[in-house]
Amino acid sequence: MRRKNKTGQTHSFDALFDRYYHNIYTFVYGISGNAETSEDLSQETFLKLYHALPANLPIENPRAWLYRVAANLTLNLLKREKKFRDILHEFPADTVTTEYASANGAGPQERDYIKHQETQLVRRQLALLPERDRVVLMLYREGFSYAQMAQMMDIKKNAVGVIISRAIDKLEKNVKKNTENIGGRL
Amino acid sequence: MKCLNPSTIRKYIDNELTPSRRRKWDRHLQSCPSCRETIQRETQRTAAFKAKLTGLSPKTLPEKVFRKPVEPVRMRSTRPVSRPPFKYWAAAAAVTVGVLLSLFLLLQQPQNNDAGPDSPGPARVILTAAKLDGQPAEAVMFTDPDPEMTVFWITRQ
Repeated sequence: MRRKNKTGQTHSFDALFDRYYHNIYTFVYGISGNAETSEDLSQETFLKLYHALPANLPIENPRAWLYRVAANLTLNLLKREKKFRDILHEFPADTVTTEYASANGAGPQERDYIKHQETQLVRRQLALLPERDRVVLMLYREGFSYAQMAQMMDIKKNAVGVIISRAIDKLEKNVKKNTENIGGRL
Repeated sequence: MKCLNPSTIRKYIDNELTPSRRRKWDRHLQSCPSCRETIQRETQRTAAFKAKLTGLSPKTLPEKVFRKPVEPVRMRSTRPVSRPPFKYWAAAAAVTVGVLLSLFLLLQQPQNNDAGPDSPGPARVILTAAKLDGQPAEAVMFTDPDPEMTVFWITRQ
């Protein structure tokens, strides 16, 4: 299954799947934190591509198209179920960071455990953000421009920078607050 | 020249300023240690933030297998389809047309049983030179397509 875009470039489903499947999976996983959901949504994203290619839908930038579809699917799921937030709240609130572990001479296993805890802390703090902001942050991590993110999320371009700045401030503040709760050693 | 505001700092770090505006702020940064320090600090914070987001990546990735949608399978018979010759179709069509035409003509004929009050009744035929007990009489015959409905009516004159 192949189709040419306006620039004459040919999109092959197999090539696009091979190139972007893991990227899309990682992107969705970053938002949902759930492997099964991430795999389902990744499959659904590529299913849309599978149907879109023979239908000659305008796909000039397949990478942006795939991320946009995945973002919308994830956003819809988050809004529909709200379950991730509830699951993430089950993680323990007290944790320490890898920087703390290194400073105190922790062993490799302990460092792994602490790193896992730190990741859960970040995930929990991100889960407190609005769903749309979380998706924007993951698109930011993937290196999309403000214009692309604004188009994908149907928001104003100026709002993208505000969302990112606000998220960085909030995350830093909450991580610091949580580490202070366990003794204020950082 | 004013120093960078938070919004501009964010755009500067993310390389979202237009080339002309970036050149303008680059010139400012050369002469403003405070803004330089802010940019450096915010760049580090952003890098740390991105690293934290990267830390959310899965440890293992699933196998690259696309589950194609199941499409309905059309079963085809291996036996050749036998069709009756054209003459049979023509005969069947002729019979059908004949039956339909007959029905149409039948429905067009007046039905006496369903006749209304103004419809013509049975034909009335007066027989002259009729006699009853040797006396002249008038005999009237009411004819009808249905033989059972045909009656004679004889009266003395």
